[in-house]
Amino acid sequence: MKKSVYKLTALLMAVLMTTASFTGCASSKASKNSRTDEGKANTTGENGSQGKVIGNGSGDSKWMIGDPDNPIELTVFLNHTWYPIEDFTGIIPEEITKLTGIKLKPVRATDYTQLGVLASSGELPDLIFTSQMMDTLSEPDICYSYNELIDKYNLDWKIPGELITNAKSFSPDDNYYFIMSHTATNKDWQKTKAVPMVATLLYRYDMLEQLGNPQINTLDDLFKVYDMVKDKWPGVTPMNFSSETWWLDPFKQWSGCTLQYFIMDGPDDKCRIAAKTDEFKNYLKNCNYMYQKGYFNADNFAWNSAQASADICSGKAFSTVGSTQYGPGSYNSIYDTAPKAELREMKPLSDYPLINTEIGWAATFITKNNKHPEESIRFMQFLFSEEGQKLTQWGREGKEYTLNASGFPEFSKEWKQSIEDNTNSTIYNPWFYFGGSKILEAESRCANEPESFQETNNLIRESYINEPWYAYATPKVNDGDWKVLYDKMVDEVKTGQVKVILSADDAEFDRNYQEFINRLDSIHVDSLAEFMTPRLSEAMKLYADQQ
Amino acid sequence: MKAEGKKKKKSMQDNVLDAAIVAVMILVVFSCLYPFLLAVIMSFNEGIDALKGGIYFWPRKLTFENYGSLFKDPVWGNAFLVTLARTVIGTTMTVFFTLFVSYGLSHKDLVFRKFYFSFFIFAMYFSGGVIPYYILLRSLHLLNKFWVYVVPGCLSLFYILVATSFFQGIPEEIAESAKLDGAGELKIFRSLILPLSKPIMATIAIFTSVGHWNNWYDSAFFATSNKGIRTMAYLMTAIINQSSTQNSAADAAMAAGVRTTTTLSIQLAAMVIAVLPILCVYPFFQRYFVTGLTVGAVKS
Repeated sequence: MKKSVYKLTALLMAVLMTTASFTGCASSKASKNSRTDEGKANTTGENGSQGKVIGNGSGDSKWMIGDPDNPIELTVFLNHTWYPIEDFTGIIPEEITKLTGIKLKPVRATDYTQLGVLASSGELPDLIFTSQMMDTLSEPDICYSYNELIDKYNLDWKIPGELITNAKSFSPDDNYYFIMSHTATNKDWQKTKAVPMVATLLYRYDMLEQLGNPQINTLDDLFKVYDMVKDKWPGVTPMNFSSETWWLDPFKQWSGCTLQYFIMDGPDDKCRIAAKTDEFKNYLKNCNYMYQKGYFNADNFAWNSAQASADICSGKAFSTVGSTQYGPGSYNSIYDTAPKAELREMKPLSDYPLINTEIGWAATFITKNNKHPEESIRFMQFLFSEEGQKLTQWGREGKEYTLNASGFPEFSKEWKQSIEDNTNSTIYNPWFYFGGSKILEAESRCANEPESFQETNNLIRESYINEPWYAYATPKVNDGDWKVLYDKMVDEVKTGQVKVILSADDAEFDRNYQEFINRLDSIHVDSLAEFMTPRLSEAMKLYADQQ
Repeated sequence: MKAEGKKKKKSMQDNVLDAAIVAVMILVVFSCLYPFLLAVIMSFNEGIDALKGGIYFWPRKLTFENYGSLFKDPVWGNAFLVTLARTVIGTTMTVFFTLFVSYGLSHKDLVFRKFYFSFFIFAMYFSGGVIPYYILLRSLHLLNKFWVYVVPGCLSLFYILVATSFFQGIPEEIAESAKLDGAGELKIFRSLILPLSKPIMATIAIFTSVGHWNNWYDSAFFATSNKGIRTMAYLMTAIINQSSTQNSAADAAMAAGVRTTTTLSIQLAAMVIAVLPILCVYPFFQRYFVTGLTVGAVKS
C-alpha cells in the first residue's frame, strides 16, 4: 500500500514537472492584456492619473501638451549603452516638463541585444531612441508611423522632404516611422559658419615652426615635412591614427578617393565599386608609401582613440588623425610634456571634394504599446522645433547661453565650469536631444575654437558635399542576401586594405593589391554594383526632387 | 633505528635539481601572478599616464579616481546590498535544492529515475533561447522583481549531476544502518548525509556565489525598469560602456585635466572590485575540497 502511494506521488510529480516546463507557452492574449495594463500604469502621472491633456497652444507655452504639475509620463528606452545619463532630472529636463507637461522615464540599454528581446516579447516601452534596428522597428505592427499620427491629430508640422525621404529608406511601405535626428542638408551647411564632423589631421605647429614653417599645400609637401620631422626628431613618429574611429580618411580624400563604397556620377550612370577604382588604388599607394618611409607604425591598426591621443600628448607623434568634433582642447594634456605645444588643423590638401553620405544619427519610435500617441507625436514636434533643439542642446537662452555676432552660442561661466567638473550631465542634462540639430551641435563646437581652426574649418565646410542617396540606397535587412553581400564587401575592404598598406616594398604591394581585388571578385561585388545601379538611380532622382 | 631517524643526506645533484625546480616554479608563479598585480597597479594609476607605458611595479601617478568613477553614484550602496543579498540567498537556495534533488536522484530505486536524468541532460544541452526564457519569466511574474535573480537559478542541472555522482559514492551501508535504527529518509539526509557532503556543498556554493556576484545579464535584461534592484555587476558594466565612448563633455573634462581615466583604467578597477570578494572568501572554502569522505564511519 505504502509502495503504491509512493509510486503515485512519483508519477504525479513527474507529470507536474513536465507540465511546468511548458508554462512558457501561455496564451499571448492574456499577456497582451496584462501588458496593456502595465503600459497604462507606465504612462500615468505622478498622482496616478493619466495627466490632463490641455492641448497645443494653451497656457504660457505654445508647446503645452500635458499639465506640468501633473505631467504625462512616457517610458523611453535609450538604446545606446554609452549614454551617460538614465534619469530625467536636471535643469533642461525640468524646463522641458515646464514647457510641455511631459515627463520621460528613461531606461538605458546595457547590451545592444536588449532591444531585440523587448521587441520579440512585445514588451516595448512608449518610445525608443535608437540608432540601430531602424528597419526592424519601422513596421506597422510595432510602431506608429509619424505621417499617420500627424494626419490623425491634424498637426501643423512641416517636415522637410529630404528628412521624410531619409526615414522612408528604412520602411517597407510608403510611411515613415521616425524622423532622423542630427540631419543637415547641403543648404543648411551653406548657411552656417560651423564645420561638419569629418576626419581631419592635427599637427604640431610649434614643431613645424622649428622646421622653418614650410608650406604644406599638397600631399607631397606633407611627406617632405614628415621626412624633416624624422631627421630632426628620430624618436618622434610623423603621424599616428586609430582604427577605432577615423582610420586614414583624410588621406583618402586627399588622394582623390571617395569615402563611400559605391560611386555613381548620375542617375543614368552605372554604379561602380569604389574599392576597385584607380582612385582607391592611389589612396592605398600613398598610404603604403607612408608606411614604407616609416611615417606611421603598423600598430596603429590595432589602436583605440585613447592610445592615439596619449601618443601625441606625450610628444611621441608630430601629427594625428582626429576629427573636427574634437578641437585642440581635447589634447590639453600635451602641455604637461610640451608647454609651448600648439596644435593646428591641416587644411585640405587637394581640391577633391569631401563627399559624405549622411542621413542623420538616431530615431525616436512611437511604439504600438504607447497609450499616448497624440501626446508623443506633439512632443516629438516640440523636440524637432528650433526652440526644442536649442533647449535640449544649449539650455535656456539668456541663462545657459547667449548668441554672439556670428550666431554661435556663448555659454555661461556655470555651464563651462560644469563641463570642467564633469557635472554637466548631472546639473543640466543636455541628453534628451531626440530632435537634435547637427548644425546647432556644430555651432556649439566651433564657438570656442581658435582663429587658426576657423580658417581651416571654412575650407573644410566649402569642400563638403553630402550625397544622402548612397545611405538611402544601401542594402538593409529587408534586402536579404544583398545585405549579406554588402556586409561582406565592407568587411573585406576594411580588413583587406591593411595588408596592402603594410606591404614591405612595391613588388609586394602589387601582389597584395591584386590579391585584394581577386578576393573582392570572388565574393561577386560586381553583381552588387549591378543591383545598386537602379536603386541609386531612383534614389538620386528622389533627392533631386527634394532640392 | 638510529640510522632511520637521521635525515637522508642530499647529494650535490639533488641540490642542483631542487634549485632548478624552485627557480622554474618561481618563474611560473611570477608569470601567473604578475599580470594580476600589474592590473591592480594600473588601476591605481592615472589612466592617461598609464597609456604612455613604463609602469611595472608601482603606480607612477597614484590616483583613486578610477575607483572613484565607479563609486561616485550613490546607487552603489544599494547595488552592493542587492548583490550581497542575491549572492547569499541565491547560493543558499541553490545548494539546498540541488542537494535535495541530487540525493533523491542518487537512489537507484527512485521511480522514473532514468526519465529524470534524460530530461535534465537534454535541458542542459538545449534551451529555448533568451526570448522564450523572457516570456517564461514574465508569465511567472518574476520580471523586475528581486526573485528573478534567485528563483530561476535554484536548480542547477550541471551541479545536480555532479552532486548525484557524489552521493552515489557514499556507501549505502551508512543509510542502511540508520534505517535499521528506525531513522526516516529526512533524518538520514539531515544527520548523516549532509555532514559528509561538506566538500560538494562548498564546491557548489563557491561557484554559485561567484556566478551571482558577477552576473549582470539578468539585471540588464530581466530587471530593466526596476532600478532599485540593480546589481553591482550591472553598474560596472554600464560604467565601462559609458567610458568606452568619447563624448564632448567627457573630452572637455579630459582636456581640462580633470578626468584622467580611460576605458582601460576603469575596466581594471572594475576587475579588481569583482575579484576581491571572491579572493577573500576562497581560502575559507579551500579546506573543504580536500576533506575525506567516510573516515572511520563504516567498515564493510
